[in-house]
Amino acid sequence: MSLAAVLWSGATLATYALARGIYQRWRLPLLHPSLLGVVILAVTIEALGRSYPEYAAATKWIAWWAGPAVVAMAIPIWRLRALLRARLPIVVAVVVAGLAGGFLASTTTLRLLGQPRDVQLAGPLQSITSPVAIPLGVQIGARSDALVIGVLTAGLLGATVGPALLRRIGVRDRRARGLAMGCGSHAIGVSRSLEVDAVCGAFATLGMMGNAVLATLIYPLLARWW
Amino acid sequence: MERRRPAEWLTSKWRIAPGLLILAGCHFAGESIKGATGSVIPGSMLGLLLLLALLALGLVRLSWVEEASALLLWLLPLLLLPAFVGAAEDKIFWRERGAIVVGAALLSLLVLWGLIGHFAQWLFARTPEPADDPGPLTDLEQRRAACEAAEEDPAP
Repeated sequence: MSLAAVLWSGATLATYALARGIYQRWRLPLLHPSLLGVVILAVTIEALGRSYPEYAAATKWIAWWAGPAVVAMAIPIWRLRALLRARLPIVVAVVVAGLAGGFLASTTTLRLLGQPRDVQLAGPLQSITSPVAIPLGVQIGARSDALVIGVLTAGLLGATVGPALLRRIGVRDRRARGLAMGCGSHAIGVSRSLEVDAVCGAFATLGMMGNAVLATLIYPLLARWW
Repeated sequence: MERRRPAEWLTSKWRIAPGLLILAGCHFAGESIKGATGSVIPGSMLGLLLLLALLALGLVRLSWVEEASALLLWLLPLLLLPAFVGAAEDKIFWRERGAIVVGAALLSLLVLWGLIGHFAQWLFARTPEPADDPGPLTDLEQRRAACEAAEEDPAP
């Protein structure tokens, strides 16, 4: 491992620990470790006059482990298999409707706002958990920075106003609220739903997982058609 | 993560190491399958499906991988930081399109929540309840349940 790899990896680990500590102290969505960590590291790279490709090459081994982490999501799915089996038709119907509706709502909005095709294709990926959304985005030709902005926006909106807003618009069933949070705000939505109650959190987990699995099948086809 | 004594921590590491190898192996196998077949599904997702199949067939036990899985999912925000940081590179994009992309993300999420929430609620209301399904909670039950807040904060 080169000196640059050691230093940038150390900086990434330290930044994450700091960002997590700050978030756990104040619990403000805008201080979420994903957002705060990006800001701290980007400011560090700019302040030191280093390049982003240099940082990416130095921390490649950290990013590689996101792949096995996606595989690790099999464990929560396995634990929820009885619930999933009992409610599979509803979960699949809701996730497919959400993926198709989300694709049309997002790409149409971005097209009406005059955005290029790669930004339009990044829009619908905002609701998919990022370890799946990022490789899927590369595959369908979505713009990666637009994708990351969308993923963080969807997650932070879910963490701040998600459950209250869903209740305000008349979604009273906690299972429906959980599915909406998981399908719309991915893992941050799942986390927020778990804070509300366990059943809402379980359905949010099913929604997030279903969204991730089915998006990999549906979005490449929709992207080709769009 | 729960706080452990040093001896428990060390013995747990011996359980985590083979689990990490199994997860990394499934990821590698998924990537290989994707490379060989040209599948549209990302390799890591194929690895996830492979692990589910191995668990269902009893070839992998839950106890072999659950600690490693918990560790990786706990660390997921850290593992994604390098990819997220790369998105900050194009400052012209952020200046010219950042506000539009955030606005479109907010709008489409609101549409999505309305669509999914009401569609799911409609489906749940029209489907008979399985015996073990908890069903919708009253407001009082919801307030009680809210007291059992979880302390996890996984990746976006």
